[in-house]
Amino acid sequence: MNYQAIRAAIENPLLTAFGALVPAVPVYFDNITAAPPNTTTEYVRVNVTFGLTNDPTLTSSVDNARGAIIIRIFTEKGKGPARVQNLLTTAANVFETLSNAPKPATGVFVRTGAINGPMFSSTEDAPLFMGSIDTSFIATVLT
Amino acid sequence: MRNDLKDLPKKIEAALFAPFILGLARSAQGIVKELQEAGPSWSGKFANSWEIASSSTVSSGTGAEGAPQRLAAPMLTPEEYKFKPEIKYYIANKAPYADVALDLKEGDFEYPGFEPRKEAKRGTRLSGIRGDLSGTEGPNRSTAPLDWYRTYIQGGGLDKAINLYMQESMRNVRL
Repeated sequence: MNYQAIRAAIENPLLTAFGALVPAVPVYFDNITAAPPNTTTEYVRVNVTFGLTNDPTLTSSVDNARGAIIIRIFTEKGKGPARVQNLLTTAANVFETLSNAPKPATGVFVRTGAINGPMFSSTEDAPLFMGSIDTSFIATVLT
Repeated sequence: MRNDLKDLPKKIEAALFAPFILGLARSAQGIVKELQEAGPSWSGKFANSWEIASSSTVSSGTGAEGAPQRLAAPMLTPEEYKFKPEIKYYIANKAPYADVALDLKEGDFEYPGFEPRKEAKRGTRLSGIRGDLSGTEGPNRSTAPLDWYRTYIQGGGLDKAINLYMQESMRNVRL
């Protein structure tokens, strides 16, 4: 099992998509500290978590993993939901692209599940407005 | 005697469905137990605030502080088992701050004046999400990893629990 290859297959398209926006939106992955929110007007946080590995009900292959991808987008507070929703659309498009990609001969084959959300949150103390979506994934490492 | 015979088909049906009904109930109970163990627990109130609902009955946790108390699922009637709705049980947490504990919403956090009953990871919380701690040193603490709930639901934990308990009950079936 190559967890790092699976993580890269999920994170790279997200980094590319948000980097291609004008202006580019910074993306922070697991175990990377984002700049303090009060000094950043908007950013994306991506969490990739793993659940079952090599579950026999997935396939007979021994290189399968299931998990969840959670995208949280933080934008300026008090300016409506439009910006956060536009950025969530970028993330949702990446999920769909991942799910529609043809199966490669080698490498990592990722399929995403239903997209939950978006959900929005903005507490009084929080300096930014948050929108989030999440989806399940099944990844197969092909050799 | 005549009444006994009249009820016989119902009794046979109830006996036939009993292992499956028991299996579903144990699945639901097992899921709650795993959620209690996987989730955050500072005072223990959140872990004791899960509830299991069938279409006719709700079984609620006490919401008490302390170690997680096991929750018994309401037993389905043969009619509830046979007919719709397809979803037999709903599991939810009734704590007022459940969305924060589930990492679905940002929260405001303050030290409650006592130590957590579960081991806590230390760090600095920047985003307002309960489990989103940076680094290994800092003023904030978390008693469950970030996105523990979504990992459990989407990462396969749920299927595993159902399979496990259903298989256990099926071993007792006598046809």
